[in-house]
Amino acid sequence: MPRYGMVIDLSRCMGCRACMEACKVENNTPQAIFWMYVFRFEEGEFPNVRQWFMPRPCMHCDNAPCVKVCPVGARYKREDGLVATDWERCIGCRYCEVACPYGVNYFNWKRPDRNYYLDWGVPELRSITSGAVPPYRNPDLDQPYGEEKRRIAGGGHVKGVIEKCTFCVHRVEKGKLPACVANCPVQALLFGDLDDPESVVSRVLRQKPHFRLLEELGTEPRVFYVGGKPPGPETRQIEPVRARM
Amino acid sequence: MKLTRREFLRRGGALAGMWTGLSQLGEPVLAFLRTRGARWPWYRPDEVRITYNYCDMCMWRCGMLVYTVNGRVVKVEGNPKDPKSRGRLCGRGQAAVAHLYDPDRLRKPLIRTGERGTWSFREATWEEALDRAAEALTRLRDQYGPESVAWFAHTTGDFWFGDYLPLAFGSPNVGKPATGLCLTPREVAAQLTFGRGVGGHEPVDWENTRYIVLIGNHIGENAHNTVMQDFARALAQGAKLVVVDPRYSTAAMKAHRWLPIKPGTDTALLLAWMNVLITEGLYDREYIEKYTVGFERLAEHIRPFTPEWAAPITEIPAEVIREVAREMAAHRPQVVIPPGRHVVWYGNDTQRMRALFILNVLLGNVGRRGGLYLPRAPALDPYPHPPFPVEVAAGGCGAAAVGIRIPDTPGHPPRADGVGSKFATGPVVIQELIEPMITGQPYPIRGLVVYGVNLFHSIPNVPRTIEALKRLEFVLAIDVLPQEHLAWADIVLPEATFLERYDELWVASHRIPYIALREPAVEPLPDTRPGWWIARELGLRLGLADYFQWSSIEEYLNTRLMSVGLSLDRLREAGGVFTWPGKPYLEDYGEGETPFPTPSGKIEIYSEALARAGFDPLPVYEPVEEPPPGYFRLLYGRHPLHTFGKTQNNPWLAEVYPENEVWVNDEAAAALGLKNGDLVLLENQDGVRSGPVRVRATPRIRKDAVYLVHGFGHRGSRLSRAEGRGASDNLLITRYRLDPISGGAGMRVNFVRLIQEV
Ligand code: SF4
Ligand code: SF4
Repeated sequence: MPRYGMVIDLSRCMGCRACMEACKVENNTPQAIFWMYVFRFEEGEFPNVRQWFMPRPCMHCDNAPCVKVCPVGARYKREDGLVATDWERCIGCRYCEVACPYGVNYFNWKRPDRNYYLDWGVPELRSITSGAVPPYRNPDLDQPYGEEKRRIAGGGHVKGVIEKCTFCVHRVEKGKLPACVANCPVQALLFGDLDDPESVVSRVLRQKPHFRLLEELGTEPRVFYVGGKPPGPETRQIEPVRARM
Repeated sequence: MKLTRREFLRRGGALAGMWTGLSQLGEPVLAFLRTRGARWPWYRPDEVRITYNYCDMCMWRCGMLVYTVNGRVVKVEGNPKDPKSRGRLCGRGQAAVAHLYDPDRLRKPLIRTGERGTWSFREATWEEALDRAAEALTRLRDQYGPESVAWFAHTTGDFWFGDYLPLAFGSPNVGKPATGLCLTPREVAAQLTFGRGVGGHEPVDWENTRYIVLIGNHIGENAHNTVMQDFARALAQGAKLVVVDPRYSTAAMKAHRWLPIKPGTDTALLLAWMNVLITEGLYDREYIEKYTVGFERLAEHIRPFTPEWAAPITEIPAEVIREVAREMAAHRPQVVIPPGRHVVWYGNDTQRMRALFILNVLLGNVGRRGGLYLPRAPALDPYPHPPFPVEVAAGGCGAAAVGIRIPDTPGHPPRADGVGSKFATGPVVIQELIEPMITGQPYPIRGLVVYGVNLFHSIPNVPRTIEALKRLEFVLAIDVLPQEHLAWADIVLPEATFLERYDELWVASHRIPYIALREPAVEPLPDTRPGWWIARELGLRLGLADYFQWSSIEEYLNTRLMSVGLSLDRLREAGGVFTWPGKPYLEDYGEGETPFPTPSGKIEIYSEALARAGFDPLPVYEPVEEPPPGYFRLLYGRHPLHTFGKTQNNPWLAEVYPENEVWVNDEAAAALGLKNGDLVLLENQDGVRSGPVRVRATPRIRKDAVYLVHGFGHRGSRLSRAEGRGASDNLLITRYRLDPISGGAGMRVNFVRLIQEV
């Protein structure tokens, strides 16, 4: 069984946010929900300034506080390291959202499925969809995954259910990379088996100093950052943030 | 590593095998979804289809795979076979899905019922709208000649509405914003120096370079996919980077040196670098001897332009100038000063671009590994058609393959953009076609066909454009979204998006010459039509049947492909992309064969052509006007999630970056009593005011300039997400300085002051 993890090379990231959009198109996340978010920082004074970006997916912690607090066992840790949400079982209590120090959980307050697209309910458009009015989405999201055969890929997109980054479990199980990783134009995101010494993630972690976010909390995140540093007191956020941190 | 290889094999070989698990969708989940109110399933299992496309979210044209389920596009991915995307798409490319399904899309042909400038239209059938449009165009042609109609076009369909139909119609007045508002000085400078243009995909040999100098080239914000990929790889391989920019851009954050140059003084810096290379004997002597003419005159010319001369002008210390020159020399020929794209800054831009190219030449890098390679285009025959009555180059994003010194066709109407009088040479410049609509000089333009160009966001001096629109007798607009300028059209034709149509092949001039296919992934929205169809229907109605002898686009494409032994089917089998070997380096050229088709057959450092035309044959620096007290110079650029003024309404892109902010130096902002997030109005030197825009007070910009992301501040559009958000740089660019050589519209000559919103 592989042990999946992600390495994010801050020295490469250009803050283009292709990862965020790739996540949108792959996982059909509803409006204002960002499973992947790129935080943007600046430091220093003109002309000695510095700017840097920090992509933030779910950390898929080994000691995940969200898993511990879930009263119904909807949030669980898979053997391969993925922290998954069985949205069929989620009761929307939002304990996980409170417990997570990284702000990666999003609650669906509304029915999210009609957020973006043409209103295909318009009679003149029906011909295209053979009369159906689809909330359209990546069909892979509706499969059961893992040995447990649980519904974890779509993250729900259902009113009253929590959702977050799944490490693209539906792709990973097919041997593909998560969408953000596969699309980052500058290959700042790397993904693979931390137990395989030959995997790209293991090699990078051997070669480069790295850190994890809020390491001191003991959550044991599976996301490692190289080529930079965590934001400190001298760091200023560049723009109003559209995600929680 | 294992994962990546497996993924590669899967993508390359077994695309069709993906998503086969649909039919396994279990009954429990269906029942569950039903209880949650979802109507399910809406698709028939096993209906996943992949079609080939090339992205049109910007003009970079990355190869794309489009996944559809039961007639709905569910996602897009980069085509791994494509030399541009290599399996990856930028954020805008990903959001193509939301473009296709933008609820604001135009859905019916419209015919004006009320005043121009208002959205007063009635819906019409295609028959009626096309008949009416053709009638109006025919009348103008018969009464005033075909040159009385101007054609403006952008995005891939500009082939039909910028290169094909207008020329068949007989109008030389075809304008693309990519020329006079973007690339023209660069293309003309390259043509003069190398006898060839640069082309849409800048031929930088990123993979072999060791030292990069960017002049105002904001890679990372300018999110051209391949450039980001290659640039990042070059840096990861240890290439050094110098960024020259008044603003600490995304590229600057990767640099080992950021030179916060005073705006408008780049040419002085380039001259000083040449001075150091030549006086210290650091240039590539052998290369200069073998491939160039006019070096001696340059050596003489640059003598006064020492780093000490340039330092007070550029505000970059002489020592830094000298050190960078030496560093460049130490890495030659694996050093490159990329030409950048949007180069219409100050109106003397051809000179700056010539200086930039000559600096590259001194380093001996043109046609060498790690420098600028020599791109090549695949040789594909056009669909056979009778000769066009006029021959003119509209230029455009991929124009390098076309020679750009186009004389007027004898016996036919000359261009109305003032080539030969207002400026010397180059493709038609769009902004100079506005004037004849107002003044009737050199002759009146009375009609306009505008395809995919936002007249109020791309062409400077909006009041002038509005004045022109008022005087036009007929305006036909073809677009996907209800942009503001459509309110001035007499007839509006709703086009299908690039995901819903076939299009002309993408014939790329590149290190690896290639062609790419665009095929429809889904049926067009009812009552929208592909550009080729619209062009053909109009053409037939205009009596141009000889130019449209094909009845279907498949036939058109197959005929073109036949000339290189391909067909649509074979192109599909090949993965949507077909490549040829290139000739990127000088060593790929045999004895007696020159890649530089200049009159001398060599790189022309000293330009006889410029001298003859009365211009400085060697690059010169001219100071630019300074902002008056209380004003900042207005700079503008790109956001990685937006393309010009056409993506602000995209639901996914607007969600992440819904409005631009005005960057102001933090100390300058404090002096004005402004802080981060305050709302201000921008007022330019002519008293034109923007809408309210938020202040981003930051140390990442000089005190004498402010910066806006281009394309925001839509006003009077029917774009529900974009309307009224942010400030429009173009609105504030009421003046520009025409480059007398190339006709480029230098736009960084506008000044704004900040007025706090109360
Ligand atoms: S796609 Fe890559 S470079 Fe762009 S923001 Fe995400 S991690 Fe950074
Ligand atoms: S750079 Fe981005 S928007 Fe432009 S063509 Fe490529 S994927 Fe599309």
